Parts: sequence; C-alpha cells; structure tokens
Amino acid sequence: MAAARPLLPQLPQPTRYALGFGLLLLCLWLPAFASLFRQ
Amino acid sequence: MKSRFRGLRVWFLIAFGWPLLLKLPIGILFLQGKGLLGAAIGIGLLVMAGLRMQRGQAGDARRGAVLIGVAAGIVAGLGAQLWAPVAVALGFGAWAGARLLSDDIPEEAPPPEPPPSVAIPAPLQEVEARLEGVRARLGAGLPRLPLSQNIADTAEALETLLREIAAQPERIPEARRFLTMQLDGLDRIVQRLQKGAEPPATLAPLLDEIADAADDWRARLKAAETEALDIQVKVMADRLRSEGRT
Repeated sequence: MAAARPLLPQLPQPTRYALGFGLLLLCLWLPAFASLFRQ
Repeated sequence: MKSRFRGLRVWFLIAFGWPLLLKLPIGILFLQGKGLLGAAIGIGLLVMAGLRMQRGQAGDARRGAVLIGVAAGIVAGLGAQLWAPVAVALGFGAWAGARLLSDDIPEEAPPPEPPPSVAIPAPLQEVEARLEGVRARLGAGLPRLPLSQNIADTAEALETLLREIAAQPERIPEARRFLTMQLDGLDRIVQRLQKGAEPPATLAPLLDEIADAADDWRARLKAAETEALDIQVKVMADRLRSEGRT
C-alpha cells in the first residue's frame, strides 16, 4: 500500500525523483559538507 | 524482498548525511563543540528517521521525512553555522526532498484494531472465573493430563457460549444454570485427573456431549433471534400495508 497524498502529485515520477534528489543534495548534503569546514 | 528494497531506498536517503560521519572525528580532534554537537544530533536524527522509515508501517515515511528535515535544519544551523532562517528553510527543503523520494515506498496497512471484547456482566462473572480455573489447571497439568485436548475443546465451546450470552443480557438467567453446572462438573473432573485418577471410558464421550450441548444452546439462541427478526419483518410489512400502501 503506497502512502496516501504524495507531495506534488501532478509531477511525473522521474521529475519527482530528480527534484527530491536535488533538494536533499542542496539541503542535507551541502550543509553537512559545509560543516566540515566550520569551527 | 520488498522490505529489503525498502531498506535500500531508505538508507539511500540517509546516506546524504555522510559528511557528518567525517565531522565527528574532526570535531573531537579539534575540540569544535558546536560543530560536534550539530553532527551528533544530525546523525542521531537521521538514524532514527532511517529506522522509522524502514519499519514501513502506515505514516512512517512521513514521520521519517520530518525527522530528516529537522536533522538538516540542525546540521545547517549548528554544524554549518548558517543564519537561522536559512537553516530553517534548508530543513523544509530536506523534508520536501525526503517526501518526494519516499512517497511511493510501499507501506503496510496499520494493524487492525482488536475486536471489542464484551464485558462479562456480574451474574456471569462467577462462571467466567470457573472457566479460568479450568484453563489454569489444564495449563498447570504437567505432565499432560489425560484427555486434556478434549477438556480444552469443551472449555472452548463453553467459553464461546459464555461470550455470546454476555452480549444478550435477557438470556443470562436461563443459560447461567447450564454454564455453571457444566463448568462446575468440568472443574471437578480436571481436579480428579490432576490427582491421578484414571479416566473412565465414558469420559471422552461425555466431554463431547457437553461441547455439543453448548453448541446446541448457541444454535437455539440463533434460531430464537432469527424467529424474532422474522416476526419483526412481518409486523413491519403488515403495518406498511395497513397504512394504505399495497
């Protein structure tokens, strides 16, 4: 059973995957990577 | 297979936080208190999110995405020391990203609620206590009592009747005597068997008969209800006709 009410259901699945990947890269990976160069 | 696939997908999301694993030794080595705290909290929240999403019950993917968002916000704020509003925005971004990547992960339906148990009315509580007594003795009977399977079957038939009667209070008086008598007899039989008595050949048929009698009671209850419904339907049909509709 898939989760009900997906985020942005009007977008096709590949676009949703790409957008999710990009967002996680920008908002999770980048700050984590930046933290390596901070005190 | 499905759950392993789910596991891979989930840990792929969590793996976006890998630089935090490097930050931990760096933070310890160079005594970076704030950065170390951010990395530790971030890793903790991400692992919690991963475990929750992997559990795969209804709503777990959503809660996991929220945890990932909170982790990203804290990492951005404490670890990367960004301006707080930016950190919050990044948290929302990570939440949205996690939702987009986890929306279609299959989830299990929430476990069905247990059926509401009918409260046993006061007059039948003694009967229930006796039934529990028989069960306890059967369970405690080590080595196994002779005919314990037959006794358990009989007790189950009586319990089914008890539960049905409990839901129909108007039937309690007539059924109570039957239940009390049979359970009392059953209890005594189990006690004697526990003391080492050899079961007579007539015991097994007797136990079957008691179970059959309990089933008969249930059949009679059902027949009485069916008959009552039949009468009700007839009365309603008659009333409808008498009010001018043919």
